[in-house]
This record gives sequence, C-alpha cells and structure tokens, in this order.
Amino acid sequence: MAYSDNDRFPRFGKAARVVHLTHLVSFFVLFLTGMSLYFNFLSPLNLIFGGANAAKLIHRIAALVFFFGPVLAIILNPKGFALVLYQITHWRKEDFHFIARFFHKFFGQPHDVAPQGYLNGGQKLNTYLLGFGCLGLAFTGFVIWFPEYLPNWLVLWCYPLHSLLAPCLTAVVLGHAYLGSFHPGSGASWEAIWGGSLSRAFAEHHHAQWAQEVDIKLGRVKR
Amino acid sequence: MGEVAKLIDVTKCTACRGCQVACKQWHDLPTETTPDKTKFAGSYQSHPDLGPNTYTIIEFIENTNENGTQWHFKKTGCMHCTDAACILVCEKKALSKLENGIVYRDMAKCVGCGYCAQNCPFLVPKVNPKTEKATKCTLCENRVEAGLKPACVSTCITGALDFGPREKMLEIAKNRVATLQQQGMTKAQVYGEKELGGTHVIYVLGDAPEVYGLPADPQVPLSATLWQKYGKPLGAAAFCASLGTTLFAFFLNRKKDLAPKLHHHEGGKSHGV
Repeated sequence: MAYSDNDRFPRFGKAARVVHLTHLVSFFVLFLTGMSLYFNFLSPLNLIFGGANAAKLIHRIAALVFFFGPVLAIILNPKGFALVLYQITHWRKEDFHFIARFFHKFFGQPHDVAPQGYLNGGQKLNTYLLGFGCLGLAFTGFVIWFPEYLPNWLVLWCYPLHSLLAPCLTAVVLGHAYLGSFHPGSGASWEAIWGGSLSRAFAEHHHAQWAQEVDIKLGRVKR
Repeated sequence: MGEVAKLIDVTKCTACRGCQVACKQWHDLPTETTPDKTKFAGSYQSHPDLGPNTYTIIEFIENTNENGTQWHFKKTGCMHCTDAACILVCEKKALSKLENGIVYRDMAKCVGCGYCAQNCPFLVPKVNPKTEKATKCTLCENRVEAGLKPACVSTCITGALDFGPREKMLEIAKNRVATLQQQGMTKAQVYGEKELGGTHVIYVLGDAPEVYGLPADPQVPLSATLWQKYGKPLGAAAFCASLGTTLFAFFLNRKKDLAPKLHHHEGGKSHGV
C-alpha cells in the first residue's frame, strides 16, 4: 500500500467512542445533579431537574449509565480493552519524558518530547486517575445508595470519600476536557473520538512511534 | 428560657406507651404500615425500631445478670445533642441548633440524603422513602415556644418524663440517682450530662448505659469530622486549582495562538495530546 499524506490512522473503535460520549453526557448530568444536591447554595439548580427527589433519581440513573457503559464496552470489545490495559501497564522512559514536560505543553510553552506510542505518558496517567476515580465513585455511590443493607462503618467512610472523589475527579476531567477540546490543535482529538481516526499529520506529530507501527502494520511504505 | 431538656427516668416508666400515642397525635403521624416496622419481635414492644412516622418508642429490654432477670422500659428518640453529628453533616442546613438546645429540622430544606441518619451515634433519624425526608423527634419545639411541655411529657402519668430548664432537670436527675443508689441500685446514673457536649434529653438509668442499648461513650464519627474539617476544603481546593489552571492555560494559549509556532520550534519531533 502506498504512503499518502491523506492516510487515516484508526484510533478508537465504535464501542470506545459510544462509551466516551455516554460518559461525557452522564458525567455532566452527575456533576450538575450532584452539585445541586450537595451544596446548599446550589439548591435552586434542583429546579431544572424537577426538585431534589427527581434530581436524586436522575443522579442514580446517570450513575448506572456511567458505570455500566464501560462494562458493556469491555464486553463488546475485549481486544480494545486489552490494548489499553497493555498500554497503561507498560511504561517506557518516553512516557516519563512526556510527563516531565506536561506543563510546558499545557501552557503552550515550547518543548521537545520523545516520540510517543499509542498512549502518551499523560494519557496513561489520565487513564489511571479517571479509571480509579470512576471505580471509587461507583463503589462509594453504591454503598451510600443502599446504606440499610451494608455495615454502618462502611457507609460512614463512603460519604466523605464520595464527596472528596467527586471534586478531585472533576479536577482531572477539567484538564482532560481542556486538552481534548480547547487546547490548540485539539480539533483532531474530536475527529478521533467522533469519527474514530486521526490524520497522518496529527498522528505523526503527537504519536510518532505509534504512527510508524500502524504504517508498518498496514504496509504503507514511503516511496 | 435558656437551654431546656427533657428528663427520662427509666426507673419510673411502666411502659404504658401513652407518650408514643401523644407524639403520634400531636404530630399527626400515620401508623407504620411496612412489615419491617410492624413485625412481631418476640416482646410487647410495639415497633422494632424508630421509623419515619414514629419519633419515639418504648423499648422493652430484658437483662439477665447475677440478680436474675430485669425488664427495663426505655423511651427512645432524638437526644438533641450539643455536639450533634447530624447538624455537622447536613449539607442543606436542614438541621440546626436552636438557642434552647433543640435540634431543629427544616423539612423544606431536607433532600433525604440520609447523612444524618447514618452519622447519628444513636441512629435516630429515619428517612421516609415516600417523602424522601429525614424525620426525628422535634422535642415539640412549637409547643415549647408557646410555653407548653412536649406532648409526650404532658401525657406521662407516672412522672417518668419531665421537661424544663436543663440545669433544673440535671439537678432532679442527680437527686433521683442518689435516691436510687441509697435503695440499692448501685449502678444508677445520669446519662446525657456530658455526653456529646451535653444532650438535651437526659436519662436517669438504673444500670449501665449498655444495658439499655446506649453507647457508654458516644462520639461524633471520626469520618464525619475529617470529612467536614479536611475533606470538603481539600475537594474544593482541588476543583478550584484545576479550574484556575485550565482557565489560565486557555487564555494564555488563545493569546499566543500557538499552533503554527509549535511546528517551527519542534521541527517534526513528536509531542502528545
């Protein structure tokens, strides 16, 4: 297959894209309902959802979508999940190189970074933070949903953990959302998460090592 | 009137349960209908526990020791603590402390999260699954405001319940304990004088608190204290720091319009998203 500047690089499968979008929507719903239920000064927000009781119900429905979306994606696309697992459990020196220069990138300062693989160091770290954060929120949320069936000591510790994890996870999501949506050149991220693939220019620029692997795999040879 | 208190002398209670009826009547509370609130637990006790529509119950406690078996009757309900865990964890400020010491609940503000129910050292508040509001004894704060005694106190025929200024109730309780001890109840004691900063429901007990199902040293849960003192500020700080950093980066990058420069500086070397 001939090399072309218009080549696309398959990035995310259908399951991953659907889950990302359901996560995005459910996260916003969880964030708004959670904030309105938790903070006294945000109580008027409950009116959007039809009152506090309705907000609680919506929060729980969104929580189910938030939790079972990825579970469904893992079932539908175990290979994709295995790839992500492999990536985040295999750290290379290039990953740490990226993390060391993360804030240069974040604030748009000039920086040199070693060629990155399918996931760069920041994305690997982000996967851990979001993954464990979501699992923690899901577990503590489940416990405080059914306090009458669980030991009181567990419920008592899940209240502060849930209310601490939520803002911390939101803090991570803010950074993630900024890099994916508002950072210069981030339009390509939307292409990948919406359409599933990246352009050659973006792939080679941001994930040079992975781009090379894909070219070899697809037999795209530069003549 | 300064701080008030209800005195419950369990040694005088005959378990007539007039207080339960008076409470239901004054608050216009319906009967409990769900099986878990009405199941027969093997004693004359009317309800196995407090419920969203049952603010007080008389617990029937059988205690066997070297002196044989005693049958205790203990009126159970909100203790109206000074250091109230329920107030500490109520994010909606639906629970608050009145000047007279009563833990007041504002049903309009309650969202039924249940934080108060689980954090109460006595597990008193109950969330009504239908209305999704937490309920508990109000110490009839509206009656007290009008110069009346709580409904339960006004109906007690044995004098097991009394109500008035807290200092006076404590004095009566201590005198009663001294009398009981003279009569041979050596473990008789006042409960609520210092517990949780001093409660506004004070017991005269004929035996150790544990015999009556009361914690000997009730505490505000450590998790609640850590949560309110450190967890909330920490969470807010993390969120604000992230929001501030992200906004700063956003405006900085917009100003610079960095995209074309990156290529110039990096000359084909990769940098990730």
